[in-house]
Amino acid sequence: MTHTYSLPLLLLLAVLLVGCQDDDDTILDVPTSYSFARNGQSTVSYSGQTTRLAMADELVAAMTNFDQTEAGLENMFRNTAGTNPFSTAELNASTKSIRSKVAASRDLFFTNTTEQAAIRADFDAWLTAQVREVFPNRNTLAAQGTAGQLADGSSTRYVNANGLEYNQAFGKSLIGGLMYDQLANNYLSPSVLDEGTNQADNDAGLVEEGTNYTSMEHKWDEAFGYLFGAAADGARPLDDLGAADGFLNKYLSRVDNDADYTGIAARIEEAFRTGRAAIVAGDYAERDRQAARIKEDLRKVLAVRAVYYLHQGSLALTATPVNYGGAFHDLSEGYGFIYSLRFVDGVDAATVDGWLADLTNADSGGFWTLPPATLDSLTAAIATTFNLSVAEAGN
Amino acid sequence: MNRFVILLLLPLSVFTACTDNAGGDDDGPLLPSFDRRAMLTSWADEVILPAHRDFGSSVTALSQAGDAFRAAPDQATLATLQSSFKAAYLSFQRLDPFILGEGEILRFREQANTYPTDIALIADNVATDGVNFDLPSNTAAQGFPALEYLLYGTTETLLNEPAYQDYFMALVTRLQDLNAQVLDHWESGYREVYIQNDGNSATASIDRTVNDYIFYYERFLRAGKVGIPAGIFSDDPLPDRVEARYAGYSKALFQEALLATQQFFTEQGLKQYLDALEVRRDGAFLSEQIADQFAEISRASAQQLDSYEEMVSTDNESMLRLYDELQKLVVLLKVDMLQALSINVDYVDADGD
Repeated sequence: MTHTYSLPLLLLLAVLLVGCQDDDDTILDVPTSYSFARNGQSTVSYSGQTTRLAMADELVAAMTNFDQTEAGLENMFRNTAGTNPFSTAELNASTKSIRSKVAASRDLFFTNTTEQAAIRADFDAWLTAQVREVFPNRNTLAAQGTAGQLADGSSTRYVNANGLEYNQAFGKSLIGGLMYDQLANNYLSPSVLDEGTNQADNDAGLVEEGTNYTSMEHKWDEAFGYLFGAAADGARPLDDLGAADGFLNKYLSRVDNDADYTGIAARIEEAFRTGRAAIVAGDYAERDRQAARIKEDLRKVLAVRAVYYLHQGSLALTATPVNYGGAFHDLSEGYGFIYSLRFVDGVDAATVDGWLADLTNADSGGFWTLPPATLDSLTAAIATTFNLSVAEAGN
Repeated sequence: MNRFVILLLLPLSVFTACTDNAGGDDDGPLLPSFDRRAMLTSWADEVILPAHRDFGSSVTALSQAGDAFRAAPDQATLATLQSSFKAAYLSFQRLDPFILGEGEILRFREQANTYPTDIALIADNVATDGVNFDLPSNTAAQGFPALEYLLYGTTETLLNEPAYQDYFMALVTRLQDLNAQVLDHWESGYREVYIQNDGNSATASIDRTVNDYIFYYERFLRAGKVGIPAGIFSDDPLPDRVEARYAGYSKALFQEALLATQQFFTEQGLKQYLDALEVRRDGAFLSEQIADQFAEISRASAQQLDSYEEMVSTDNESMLRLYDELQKLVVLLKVDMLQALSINVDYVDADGD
């Protein structure tokens, strides 16, 4: 008897639930630019992200400034108090630092400080090795087993004994380890957005002390800031997409400029606006749908760039004459994008470590002797994992 | 679709090329009556090797003029030095589109003509003993743009100072050495290898020479000499990026390079090759459309001032018109001609970072 009652009851419940969601969808008021206000004052704020993007740009540039030291680079990475490592008083006065937010997301590292420490140690090691291995050889021609200079067209690249540019490894790994991880695995995560009384406060319009935004609004803006925080006009971040910073912003632009992915940037920007409007409207299911879209598209950006650089590297390695400088530069950028993939869904750290080991080829000559066939199968494996076509992503 | 048909035919022609040493009729069904090996022979013997030899002579003359100036620095020896410099720079323009093989490996083009030159680095190098010119980081402190700066870059000529004279002569010697290495490579066996590699795979001589030629046209003639200073790739025009900024004769260098590029097409086999295949586009011979477009570029260029720095600053629109004409030829060469000759483009535009 109980069975005959419960089934129609469940169906009825299901219909009611769906009905509720449909109602929510229809009332969202999404502005045409990323501008939100309360009582006539803007509620949008992500200055901490803007600061970290500026610090990261300076640090990566400093890695090829041969007047730098190990301590100098590490001070920039940590913004060590009292060292004033940056070029502007504003950055030096900031209490923010890059390193404290590397591999620091709630979703991935809240209970995994072991891996967090190991990842930060990788970043530290790249800085140290740049000064110890590459700086002394800055006026040496690079060769297999010897760090030094390589020509890439009219550019000069500085590589380690295996052909890897530490500055590229560092900069591109930061895109996953700082920008993507904070954006997607922290600020877009319900465990951060809905922390404590955030939902009730947001519903009641209760703003954080001394500000004009609710805590949830601010968390969402901080996610926005890791992608668009250096834009000249944050309300219209697509206007200078690609030129705002050298990290996620730049490579979203690169992928968007590939005809196979055109529109991805506009889609992400719209999802940020829609999700923010959903927070204002108290529609948290809609907020999470937009967050999922952003995560999925940015995950694709990282994977496409990994495949792109490996494929370009393979073309340069098989060119006549072999274009070592161009190839190693591509492979170094590819290294960083692969490293970044350990911060996205769908692939575990062990797999990423295996890919990096295959690429680095450390025990048998590094990039200098990397067989193009090995490189091509690595490219194919990454493309398959992320449902990409090498032909589409690789050009 | 077309490309796949061609790819299927490729192995056939490669095999024939390997077994048939007589040459001339190894073109398979695609290429009915054209002697590819004869074209390669004329490229080597009438274009590439003479261009290297002429360049060598012009740099020797420059070196001698440098010695004469150093022995007796005055207005007369300086004038001779400047005219020998211009002759050598013009000679380089005739060689530049045909730097292949060993020249690519040695980065001859980059080391001979990277501009703008790095003035601060030149000053550092002049004050340093034993500068290593092989280092990529010294690319922008050598070659013609560096020599040009030393000759024309300052009102009080730097060449009155012995340290700058030494640096000048070291750069001239380096141009001589690089050219001699490439020429020696051609003369000690590579010429024969080049001519015999007359198939149509991606690594065969015709494919590679034509790819290098179009790459040169696109990157160095179109973009380097005109597009970059005119601001095509930036927000604003960049007058300091012109070639021969200090000497002020950008146009003469551009026109010399254009002529070398044009003559290679019309007089050394590519035009005849297209005609033998009866390649038409919208009813007319493709070769004639290409020749006509070269003429259009010459016409647009004739209206320019000698100094492109002045041109970009005062009438950049005229530079943009010249660029547009150059751009039209990219389509004809890189798309239409390569498709007709079943040559795949072997380079991509770098993403620039």
